[in-house]
Amino acid sequence: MSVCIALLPVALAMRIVMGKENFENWVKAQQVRVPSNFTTELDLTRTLKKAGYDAIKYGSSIKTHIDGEKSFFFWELVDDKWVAIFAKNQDQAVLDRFKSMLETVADRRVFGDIPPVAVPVSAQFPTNFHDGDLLMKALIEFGAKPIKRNNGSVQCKIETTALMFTQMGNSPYMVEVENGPNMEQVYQYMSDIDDDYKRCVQTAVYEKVKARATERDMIIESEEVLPDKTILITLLVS
Amino acid sequence: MNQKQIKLKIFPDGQVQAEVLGFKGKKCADYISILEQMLDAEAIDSQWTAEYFFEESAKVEETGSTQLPQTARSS
Repeated sequence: MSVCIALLPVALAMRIVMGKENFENWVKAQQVRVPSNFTTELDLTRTLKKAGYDAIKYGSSIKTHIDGEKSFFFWELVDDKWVAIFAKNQDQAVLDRFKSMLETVADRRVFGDIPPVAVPVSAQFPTNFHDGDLLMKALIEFGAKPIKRNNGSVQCKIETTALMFTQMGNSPYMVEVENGPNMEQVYQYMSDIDDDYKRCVQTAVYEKVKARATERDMIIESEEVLPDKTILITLLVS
Repeated sequence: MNQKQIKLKIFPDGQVQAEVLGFKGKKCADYISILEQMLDAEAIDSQWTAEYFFEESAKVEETGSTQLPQTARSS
């Protein structure tokens, strides 16, 4: 007779870091939408390319890199006009240069005034992290040099971005992000820390099995790491 | 003779799947709480496997599985 059981370590809250829906709402709040007077895709892409920028089709949107590989924005067709959707924290000088190049090539004014957008990203998110010690370990592995405060909160800095993890009672930690370089990068930091934390949980569970098997009259018959990094342990029960 | 075994898969995302094999009767269900304590984890799902149905009733041509009475809790 056999039974199959799915178990969730208590160190792990069962939710996706930030929550996709929350993240998308937050992303929208961090955007500046600037309508242009481009009405056709051909005019838009031709002008972009002449000005030295790219125009990559992304479904119904067009992606344009604005400052090297890392910095980009999207164009969306709204009410028959192409709208540029910049990140609020986009460097203003880069934006001004882009606007100037585009308008020179188009030989007309393309945008209205672009509102100032250089706002550092600050926000608070839920996390999957329940266990302060594992969180410290994950942040150390990430190279973030965390500091644990007397009140239990964990503070660290990644480049210019300050992260403060706080826990209310037995709830999972919340993280407050301050001065993020841009929203994609902040999301990347959080996803990477989330992956590290889960790896730490995996290691912690493995160590518990090793340490506690004999107390439960079990012997480890075999153990192996599968290609997807899953640890497979066979226990003999006496 | 069936060996009593527990096959544990600890996934890279920290979640765990345990298969309790070779026990007589429904004793293997006792291992839900044993594993919860041993791993500091909560069972979120548990199912008898096809082997259970095969042994439990020769009449049943079952190849799937069914839910156990839940000790399981979602967090």
